[in-house]
Amino acid sequence: MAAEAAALDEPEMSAERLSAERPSSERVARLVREHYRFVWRLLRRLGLGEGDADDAAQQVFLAASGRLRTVEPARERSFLYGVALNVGARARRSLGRRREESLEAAGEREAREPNAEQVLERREARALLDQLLDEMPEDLRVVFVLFELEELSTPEIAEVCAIPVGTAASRLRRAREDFEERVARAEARRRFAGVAK
Amino acid sequence: MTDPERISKRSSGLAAQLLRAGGEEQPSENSVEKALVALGVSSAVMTTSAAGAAAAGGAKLTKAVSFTLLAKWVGIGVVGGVGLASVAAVATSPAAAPVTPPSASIVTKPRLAAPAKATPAPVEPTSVEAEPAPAEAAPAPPASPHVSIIEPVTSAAPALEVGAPLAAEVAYVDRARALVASGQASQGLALLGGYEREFPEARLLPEVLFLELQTFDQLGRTAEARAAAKRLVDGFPKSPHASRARRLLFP
Repeated sequence: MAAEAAALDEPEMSAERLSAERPSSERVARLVREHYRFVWRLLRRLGLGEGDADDAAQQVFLAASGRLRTVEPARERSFLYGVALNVGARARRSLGRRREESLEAAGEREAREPNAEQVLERREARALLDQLLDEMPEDLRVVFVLFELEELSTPEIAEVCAIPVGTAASRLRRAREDFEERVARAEARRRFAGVAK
Repeated sequence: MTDPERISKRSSGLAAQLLRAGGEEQPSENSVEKALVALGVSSAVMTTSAAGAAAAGGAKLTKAVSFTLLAKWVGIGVVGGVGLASVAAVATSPAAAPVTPPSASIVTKPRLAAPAKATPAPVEPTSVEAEPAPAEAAPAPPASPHVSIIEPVTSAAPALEVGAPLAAEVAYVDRARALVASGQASQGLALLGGYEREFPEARLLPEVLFLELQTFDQLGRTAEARAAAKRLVDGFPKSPHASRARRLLFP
């Protein structure tokens, strides 16, 4: 599945081929309605800003629609996630510089954020979540997001990422440990910042 | 192998709080609709059901059902009640009539120098005779129920005010796409050429430029296709269609 999705790295194809391989518009429309929100959210948690996630999500469906005929309906979601991982990775590479700048901004934001005991506003919570995810190794981050946020099972993650199930399980275990450590450190920093004020 | 309990399911803790916040984030309805338009399938939703409605009983009912569907997929949550009221007013207008192209020959505007989102610059029109010119009173396009709910736009029609519902833009672009798809490329292009005049906000401009690009390309009107491609690449470099446009510009 991931190999099939990886083939979509080059979305260009002739108009004739596009036309010949294009699935029915009803199916594409249904695909967008059913999965757009999940794809968009996945792209956000993989490090894209809201506007960039809009563009990238369009790119995902544009690329996926060219190969949809070869995908069974039951496998659409994992197929789309595979495409989204490729598109997201490419978008992040091109946004590298902007991302560094946003990380600096997030660091400044964190210093102003309330103590852990206080209820976090959702937007602030998402900013911190994105910062912590940004700091994780890429292979762990992908597995973690797919499991914790998109609620895929380990076998589904293995299929999307084209890795053995055992490897997916091992990465997931390490990713959860990594994330919890980062959260604990962030919590400690907040407490320290609260005391120092 | 059993998956561990998800952190977000825990009753408390900062980690669970963060993950729940992340899981609740949603794109805007506008974002979903723009994706449907970019993929050229926004009409698929409406066409199917509208056809059923037509079979059930007449054009009036078709309009009503089409409007309901339009409201469901395009209007609700995107443009708000005021926007929907505007669409409804247009949809029920007795003045609704078939599309009439601006003239017997296609009139296009040089676009390369135009800004990405601006009032159309006053430029000399250029007549293009790539297709058999339609008669003065052009035949109506094939019935496409979902597009009939919006009052047709002619070259003489006043521009819609800034803030017109996105639904109206979607319907307009869909109508142009339907014309092109049914072989009436010149009428489709005429509509697309008037898009920025009708909708100064031009929220679907990347999609319109891409549709123009494709249509000109299919007609073999390479220079115009390249002009649309250049404008798309220059104005919307991050648009999903930009890479295909670049390919046309720099083969």
